[in-house]
Amino acid sequence: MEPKVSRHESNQSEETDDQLLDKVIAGQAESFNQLVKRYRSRIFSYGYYLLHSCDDAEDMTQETFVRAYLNLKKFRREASFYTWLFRIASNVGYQHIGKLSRQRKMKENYANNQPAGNQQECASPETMLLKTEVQQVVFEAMQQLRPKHREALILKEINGLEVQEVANICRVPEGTIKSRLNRARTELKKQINRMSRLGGELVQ
Amino acid sequence: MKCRTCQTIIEQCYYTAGTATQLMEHIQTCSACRQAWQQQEMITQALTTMPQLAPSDALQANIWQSITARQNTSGFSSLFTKQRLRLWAAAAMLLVLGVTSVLVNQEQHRPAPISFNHKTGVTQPATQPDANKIAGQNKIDETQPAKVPGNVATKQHAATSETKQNSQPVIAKGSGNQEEPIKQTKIRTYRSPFTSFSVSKDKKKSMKTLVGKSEVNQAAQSYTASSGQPSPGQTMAVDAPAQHQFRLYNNKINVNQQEAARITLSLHQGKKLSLAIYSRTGRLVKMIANDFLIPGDYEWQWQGKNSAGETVGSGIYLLLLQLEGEKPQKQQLVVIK
Repeated sequence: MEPKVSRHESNQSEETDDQLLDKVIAGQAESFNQLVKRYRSRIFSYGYYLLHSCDDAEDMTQETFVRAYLNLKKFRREASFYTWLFRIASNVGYQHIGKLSRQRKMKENYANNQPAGNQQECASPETMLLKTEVQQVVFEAMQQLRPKHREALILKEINGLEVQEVANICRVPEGTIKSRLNRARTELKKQINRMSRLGGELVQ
Repeated sequence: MKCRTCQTIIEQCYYTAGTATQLMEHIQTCSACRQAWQQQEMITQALTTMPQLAPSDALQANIWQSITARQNTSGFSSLFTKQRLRLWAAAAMLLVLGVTSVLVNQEQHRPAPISFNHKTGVTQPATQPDANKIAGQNKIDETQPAKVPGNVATKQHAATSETKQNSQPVIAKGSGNQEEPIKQTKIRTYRSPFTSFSVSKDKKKSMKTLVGKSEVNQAAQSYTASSGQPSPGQTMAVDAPAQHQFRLYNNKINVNQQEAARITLSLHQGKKLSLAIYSRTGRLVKMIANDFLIPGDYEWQWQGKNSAGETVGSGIYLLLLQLEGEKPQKQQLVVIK
């Protein structure tokens, strides 16, 4: 269950988040670029797996960083910047889901195998994503989950956050996250089995 | 380890050092659990190896563009963002609705004005222009309290032959020597070279003085006789039944429970009245009202106390209403202690 990319891997020889935040608040807006570079792929991945749309994921990423920059003074530093950023991303993501009924659109997009938006940018993730058959099935099955369950699963399994961090992002108790994860896994397994039967082949 | 425990651990992905060893031992022997474990591991591995995706290179530029745009819309213009405009519109609509409902409510509670034809002596609902006019004139009448402590008649000589006074409720003398019954729902006063009478807040003493003034009466009488019309300065009795409604509610009161008898009187003309409670032997217990009252609705409450403020004893008491020039009316009420 180790995350693929360590969160602080790229920070080792660089300034910490707090130092960069201090600089941004002091007026050095360029320092915010470093924060964007540091976290944009994680936020984008989170958005993509949550919304299953490159366009929406990119919009979400952009909106997340814009809100973060504009509300930087409200950041009380009780949690890490990373958690706070994900909290914003989560809010933005839910707004996308609620506003546009993304789930139905997601199914259509996936059925057509034509991801919306920038095809060149999304072609790479798609091919990467569909690298293995199992990943393809899991990815498809994930879209059938409820957004809350999917969010917990993405944050915990794909982004490699701890349960406590996920709980902070979702603003729910840890027990709730564990429950959501459990239900998400059970539901994911059901979906995979169903899809495997429909496809005439088993995952195994 | 049992299969059930094993599958629970697999589903929850909760492996400790002890359980992991037991699990491995179990799945060596149980093919069903081994299959479940392999499936779970495969899913977990697929999830954890999902690639981190990269957004387009234009993201950073877009972010700064969006930040700049939003910073430019801060300040006064931020009050009129799309979302806030909706709030402003909703607030404005609520305000308009509230004001409209208040105005409509006021309009509905305004009594219909009436007009009096001097030539025919017929009272009829006013036409719309007249209605507006009269409604404006009678506005104060509606809002005035029903009781006026007293009346002062002032003799005025107006330049115009007919001026409608609308600032105060008016009690005027009739054309004869005695007081004319004021049958009215709307009081109108006409000023003339002869006289006009208006009610002020002074006591009725001065009103009595007015009643006794023969010169005014004679002038009004002569005007009526010569013109065949009501004398200017008279208050017209307009379209109202001359029935006074005198009622007693809750005629059985328990003074220990702070109950009170409620007495209501709907007076259609200005009268001097006395309202009092008497015992069965005729002894005055409490004088509730002894005053001159202008037309209106009145209400009194008696909580079973005498003039000295002491609670009266149990028994039957008489409530006596004496209106000037009318037959006394009485009601019985019971006091329980």
